Amino acid sequence: MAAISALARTLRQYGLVSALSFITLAALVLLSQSLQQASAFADTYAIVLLVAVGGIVLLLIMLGRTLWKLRRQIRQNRPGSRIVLKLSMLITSLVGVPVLVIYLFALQFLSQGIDAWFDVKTETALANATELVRITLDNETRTLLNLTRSSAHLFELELTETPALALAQLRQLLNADEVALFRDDQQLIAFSAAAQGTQILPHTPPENVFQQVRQGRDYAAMEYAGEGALRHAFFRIMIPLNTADGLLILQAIFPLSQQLMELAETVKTATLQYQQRAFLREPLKTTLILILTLVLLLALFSTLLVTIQLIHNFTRPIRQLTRGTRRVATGELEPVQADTPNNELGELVRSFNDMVMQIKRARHTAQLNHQQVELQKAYLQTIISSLSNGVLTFDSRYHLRLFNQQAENILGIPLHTAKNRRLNDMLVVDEFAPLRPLWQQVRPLLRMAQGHWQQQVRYRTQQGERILLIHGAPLPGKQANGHVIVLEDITELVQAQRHAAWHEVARRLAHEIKNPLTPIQLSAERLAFKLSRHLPEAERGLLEKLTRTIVDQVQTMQTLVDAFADYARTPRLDKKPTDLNELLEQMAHLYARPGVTIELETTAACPKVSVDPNRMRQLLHNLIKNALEACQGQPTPTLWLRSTCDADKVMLSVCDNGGGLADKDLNWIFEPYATDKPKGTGLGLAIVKKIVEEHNGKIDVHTDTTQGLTCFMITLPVTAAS
Amino acid sequence: MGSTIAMCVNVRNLLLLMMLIALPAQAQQHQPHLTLIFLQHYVDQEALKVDARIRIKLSDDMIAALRQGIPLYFSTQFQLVERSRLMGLLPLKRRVAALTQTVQLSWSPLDRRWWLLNQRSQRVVSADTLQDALEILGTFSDIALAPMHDLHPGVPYALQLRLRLLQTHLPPPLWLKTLFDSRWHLDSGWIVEPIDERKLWQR
Repeated sequence: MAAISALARTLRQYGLVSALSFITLAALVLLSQSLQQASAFADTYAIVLLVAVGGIVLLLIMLGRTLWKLRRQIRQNRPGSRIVLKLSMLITSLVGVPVLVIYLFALQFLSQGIDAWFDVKTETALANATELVRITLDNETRTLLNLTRSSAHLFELELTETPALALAQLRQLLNADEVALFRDDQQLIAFSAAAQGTQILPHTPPENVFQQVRQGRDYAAMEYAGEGALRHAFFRIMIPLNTADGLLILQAIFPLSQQLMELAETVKTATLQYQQRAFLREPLKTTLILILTLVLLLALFSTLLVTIQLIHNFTRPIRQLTRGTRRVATGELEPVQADTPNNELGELVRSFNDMVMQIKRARHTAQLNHQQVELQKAYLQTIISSLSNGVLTFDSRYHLRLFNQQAENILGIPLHTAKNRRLNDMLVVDEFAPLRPLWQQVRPLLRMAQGHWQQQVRYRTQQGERILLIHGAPLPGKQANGHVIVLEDITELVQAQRHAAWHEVARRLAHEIKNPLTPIQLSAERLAFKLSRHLPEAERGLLEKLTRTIVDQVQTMQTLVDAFADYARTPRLDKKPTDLNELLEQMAHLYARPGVTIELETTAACPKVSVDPNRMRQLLHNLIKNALEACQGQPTPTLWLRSTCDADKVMLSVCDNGGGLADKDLNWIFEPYATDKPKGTGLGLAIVKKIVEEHNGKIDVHTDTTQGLTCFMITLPVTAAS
Repeated sequence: MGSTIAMCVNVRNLLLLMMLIALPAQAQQHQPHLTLIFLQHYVDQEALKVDARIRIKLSDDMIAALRQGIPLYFSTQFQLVERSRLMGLLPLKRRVAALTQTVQLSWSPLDRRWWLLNQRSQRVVSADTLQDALEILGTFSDIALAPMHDLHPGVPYALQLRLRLLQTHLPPPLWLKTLFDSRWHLDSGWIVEPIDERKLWQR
């Protein structure tokens, strides 16, 4: 099967060229043979010439097509095309130049060889010989004419009276082959021949000769008679005889000597042949040059076509290897499907295929590993993303490599713009400005870190100051591969711990201090009552003054302790649907007084909320009282009480124009004892926050120091119970 | 063989036509040509006979070749064809009789005469001048073409005559030249003369 396939491929590649070359060569052989065997090729010469020229033209077209395809392949940068071109040019030069030289020399030899057939001496000699023979024959003819004419006059009388006898005598006298006498109407009168018995009639003269003699002119010429081998020459002499019987015509036939005839024929043949050759010299050259040129073109074109195909076949493995290499370069790892010849190129193809298969297996393994790595990475990423802590990793040059959403949330900065960039470069951007102090604290730790470390730092964001616990560790590796940083926002924890501590303090104050206060107050009042009557007026006043001071301070402490007790206790909420708008209106009326503007802005569509109305009233009371205290000293103290709502929550806000809060106070304003007022327990806002949290709500504070505005925003959920 | 010859002639004619187109006007003035003087037919001795005369003018190249001892061969073809129409439309010809004469014209340097040799009859005629020789060559008389019993009344016949130079009888080196040179092309083509039925049957 393979052999049949190879044979079919060979036929496909070389069949047409070979067949065309063979046909053209055969035509050229026939053309050359036609020069020797003219009769055999006379009728088909044009067809043979057309076949030969057509074959060459077809080969030229094939060659042009092949070269055009090769040019196109080179332009398309097809693999192996340049090698085919170079090798073809090389072989064409190696073959073409010697063939061309041989062709030129052959042309030279041909031309010189044909010219050598001719020279002036030969031509002159032949011309002279021809002229000599002609003169000899003319002289012979003239002599015979004169002899016949003179002899005829001698027998003029006898010829009219006894023509047969006279002709016999005359023939003997003239030594002629034949003598005949005709009337002017070509009627034969008598004749005498040397060869009696074999010839019964004389050589009949042509009509035109009779016509000439009839007009009185003699006729003398050498003529030919017979056909083929019997063809011979003779002299025919005819003269007119004017007799008493009228015009008679005497014809005498003289033989031409065999020797003279042979010499004449030889000279004639040689002259004609020479003249023919001289005439055919240039056509012969043209024909031979044409055949030689066609042979040259046939050899060149067919050799070039076969050579290009051979080189094409030879470089096929290289071409397929190149294609295979390009495919491999693009990631397509497939072996070369080539007929591998049993030589070094075939070994190269087999080695290439082995190599590709090995690479394919290695890539498959790498892909599996990569997939596993990706899975692990995704797994890790999921873990990191789900961490409540922020995670950041840096390489050795502090490029941010990895971070999670929580890190962005904690830092309050979109970190994706900083990914794979040096953090130092990013800090110049305003967006990353909050990171600068943090980075200044952390960077020395990163530089010096040998193992795990942690540091609690304060981090200020636009939402306020946070307390971060930062854990760090260098990433594993032979060299410094970077660092991992874990951000833990412990603000809530610290605040919760602080709240718990305050709660405990409040509880202890309420428990330990409140109990002795009443006996102290009662003892002081009793002491004043018992002693005042026994003291002089001046000292009584002092006693009352001191006693009142003690009672006042005890009442102050009582108030303080009540406040702490209120802060510390966890009352059982008596929740019921409450119209917060109505509550706001009550509080607005309650605190309405001259010199203070309270603006009430409520949303009528807000639903009732399930809250403890007493606790909510205490909440609003604390906030409004706090706001009024903040507005003291303001030229136009104003309070805004607002309610807004949406589907699942109601927002209350209490705002004032009391001058605003400093940024540093925002974090700790809800802490007990966070007040800067000379009076007060410092628990008002702490209780507010506690009440909000008891109702699962949220409180925020917003301040604008430029306009002197402060707003406390309370968000309460609208539950099903509402 | 006949079809091969016909194809060869066609190819040659095609090549010649191309050459004629390419030839300059001056070259065409030296071309040989044939002129029909007359073509007659008559019945004599129960046979259809033909008399014809064609004036032949050779090109200078042909005359030069003759002077250099190269004989020229001329073929004269007479044909009697029966003309009909297939289904009344397609014209058809059937050859009833044909006669071909091949004559060799040559120059003899010894006697300085022009010689004509009829290849079929081997008759030899000489002439003093080329003009005489060509006149003899172009004169045909008493050519018995077909016996009368081969002809039928009421059937249309035509006489065809063609005289041409046989280029294939030239020496092979000249073939290439004659293929592409109109000065070597001498062919009258088929000259057709309808047969006058009255001459055939009204005797």
